[in-house]
Amino acid sequence: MAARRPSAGLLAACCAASALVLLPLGVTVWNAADAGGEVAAALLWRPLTGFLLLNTLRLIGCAVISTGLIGTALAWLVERTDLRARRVWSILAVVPLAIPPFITSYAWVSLSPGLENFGGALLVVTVAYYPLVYLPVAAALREMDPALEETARALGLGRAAMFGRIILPQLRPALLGGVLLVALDVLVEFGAFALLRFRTFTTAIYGAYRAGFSGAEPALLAMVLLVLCIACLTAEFFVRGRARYGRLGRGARRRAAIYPLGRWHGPAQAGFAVWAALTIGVPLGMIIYWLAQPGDAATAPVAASFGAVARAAWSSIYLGAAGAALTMALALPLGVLATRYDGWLVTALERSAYLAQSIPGIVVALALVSLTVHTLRPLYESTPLLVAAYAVLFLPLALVGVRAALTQAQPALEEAGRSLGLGRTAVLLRVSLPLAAPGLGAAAALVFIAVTTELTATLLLAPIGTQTLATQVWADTSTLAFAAAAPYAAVMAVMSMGAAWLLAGRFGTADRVKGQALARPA
Amino acid sequence: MMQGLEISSLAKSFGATPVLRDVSFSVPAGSLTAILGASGSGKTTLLRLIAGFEAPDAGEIKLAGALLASGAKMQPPERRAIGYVAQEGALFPHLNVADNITFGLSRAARRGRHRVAELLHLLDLPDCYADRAPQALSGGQQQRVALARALAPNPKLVLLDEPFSALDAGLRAETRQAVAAALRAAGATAILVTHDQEEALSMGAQVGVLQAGSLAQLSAPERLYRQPASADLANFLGEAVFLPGLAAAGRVDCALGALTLADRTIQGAVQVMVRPEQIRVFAQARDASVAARVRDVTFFGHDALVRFAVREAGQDRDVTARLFSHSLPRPEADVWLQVEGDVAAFVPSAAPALQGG
Repeated sequence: MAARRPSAGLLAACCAASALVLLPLGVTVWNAADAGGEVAAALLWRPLTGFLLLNTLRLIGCAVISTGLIGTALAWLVERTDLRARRVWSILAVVPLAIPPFITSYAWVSLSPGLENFGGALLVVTVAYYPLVYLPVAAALREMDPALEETARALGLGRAAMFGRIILPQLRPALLGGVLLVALDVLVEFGAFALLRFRTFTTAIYGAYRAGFSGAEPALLAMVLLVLCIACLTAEFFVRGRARYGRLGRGARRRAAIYPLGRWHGPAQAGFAVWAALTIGVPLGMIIYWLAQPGDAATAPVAASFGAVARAAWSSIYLGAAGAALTMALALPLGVLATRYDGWLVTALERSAYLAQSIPGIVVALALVSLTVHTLRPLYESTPLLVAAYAVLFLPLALVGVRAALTQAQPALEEAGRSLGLGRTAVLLRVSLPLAAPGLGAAAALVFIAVTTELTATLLLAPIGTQTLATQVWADTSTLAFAAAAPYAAVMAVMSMGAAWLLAGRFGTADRVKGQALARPA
Repeated sequence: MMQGLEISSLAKSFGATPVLRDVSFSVPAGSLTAILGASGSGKTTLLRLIAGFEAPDAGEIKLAGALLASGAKMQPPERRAIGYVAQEGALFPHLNVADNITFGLSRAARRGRHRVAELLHLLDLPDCYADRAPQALSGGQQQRVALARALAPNPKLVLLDEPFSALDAGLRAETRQAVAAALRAAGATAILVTHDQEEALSMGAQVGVLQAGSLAQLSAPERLYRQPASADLANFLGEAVFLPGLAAAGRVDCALGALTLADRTIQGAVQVMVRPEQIRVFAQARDASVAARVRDVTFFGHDALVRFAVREAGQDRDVTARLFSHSLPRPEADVWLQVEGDVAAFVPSAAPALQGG
């Protein structure tokens, strides 16, 4: 497999995709460097930077602990205890992943303005991101070898000691990987914090841009944010590499041991119910509540009409389709390269695409704004530029799916086709595509949904007059017109959750689809 | 006689690592040649070069008189009419058994399920399997379908890449028999690569041994087993007893007496190779027998390995015999050993006097 060289066309397509991803990074570094050492020092070395750093790191620290504890506890209850209705809980536990974080944020803010502080931010982040810990930990618990636990018990360890000395060490890669994804998502999230009026790097960058400061200040703040993001992604990369190592096992394994809850059964059920009410009940409940209010229940500038909602939905769908098409067009050659060839160049090109996962939407958008305002004026605030931004943001998500789909069509199957007298094209049509098509479709659908619920880049790059569902929720919520925002939020929630449901149903194992969703950049 | 496969001076390296060097052999039409090699010996690469999945660096491949590859110039795999059965079958998971079998046929033949019943029958599979998904079959059945699929377009040659290695022991013997019978019935020219000595020796009309990318020996299985080209090969092909000896005039003197050499031209100080099953054990002395004492017995069920100490020139030599298990000597018993048949001998290549005494 490694013997053939990739064709020049394939390499060119991959280099183009990689260059597009690296472009915003390059522009940001350029803009930051342009400020010069003294200006940079003056802009960065001031209380604001320290305040933002402290605020962001404090929130990440607390979110890592809260999502880690809650995600692990729920995973333990679902996978390893005799909790009743475990199947239902296992589905409810991952539903929040299908609700865009800024919709969750909108729901909580509209419930109580008292949440516009650190506590509110922590609540929203925990509620929105704990599935990122729950999913890998649940998978690790499911795949654990019961023989290890039995051996530990036979060696005289009690239940608590066994958990600490046998189970927790085995969970470490999954848990660590999960909380690092939470940290990364907290770093790049913009909409949820903006609605909560909680100041992090992303909102500060947006503020500096809106205030019309020179390109230097937002770019310098973006540099600090990028360093944090890349550190998180690198750590996650190494943790995940080790996790894969630990999973190599042979033969059919027995099902992991189930522990009886006993008198804790009632409290566990109640706790799970409360948690589901917080994570799913509040966001959906608040949307329904505001839908039932007349338009002027809050200070609505424009009551949402059916026509306006339909127009916004159409923009979202149109941009989603265009974004998915371009992203898939870039991801396909990279996927072919990554699954069929190897070598340092292949690794470098693939890694560069995954690097996009650590570039916050606000940084991508800002870089493209500064690039087009100065040098490519006709592209500024144009639809092609916005679609390109989506492609940069969601290339990692598409690539994960494309890679998995192409792995379905193993080289051995393609060779079997060739030896039976089929040429390259015929093999592609009769073997590779039929095998990869479902996975490619799923990847395109995930990108489509991600684009329709995207806020940050859309806000900064959308052509004048283009309103999407996300920007409408943003605009109305910013002016406290919660009832006006409700129809847009409702359409988004229905689309996003419906698509997740369809994908999970179509591909049987919901975990695989959710696993792909884990690569979702905010 | 029809022309089969002819390979001359084939060479291939991956990067700086040579995988095959100067491999030449031919496969007569209608027969099966087994290529035996340890992992990393280059046997899979050899198959992939013949199938056309890789281009050779040098050398020629000819099939039925037509040139398939000459150096890096090669015909693509789809034009070679060579069937390929991969290690784990590589059945198309999105097609049922019948569609897998007819995959390489024309559209009309595919629609008419041409030859499906015939091929299922040939491989001893029930007709009702035609509509099953490959995942619903056992590993052995998948391998049989893979062979049916390879045979369907009437290939000029069938390549089998360790097709039984993923199967467990019972299934392996059964699948091996079904495959051998089907290949014979179809009159197919075939190459089987394997790392299993028994498999190679039992299935091949001729057997080649690939060592570190070179073809060490190619001959009929009996000859390969009894007269391997080197001590190393003898060991690789099965259990062997090695004794120092002195050869002259078609006979060799060693700890087991004066034995007849298979190759009568060998002279001088040699290493004698006796297969454990050539040694017979008697309670009393016989013609040309030597005294020995039983050291230990390892019982396997249908047979057993018995280790003896044979006294020669004031020194004990270890000799192992394979005996049927119904009557075995007891440890410490004094017995007499006799060697049946001819033995092989190797002239140590510029070896120091290590083997001498």
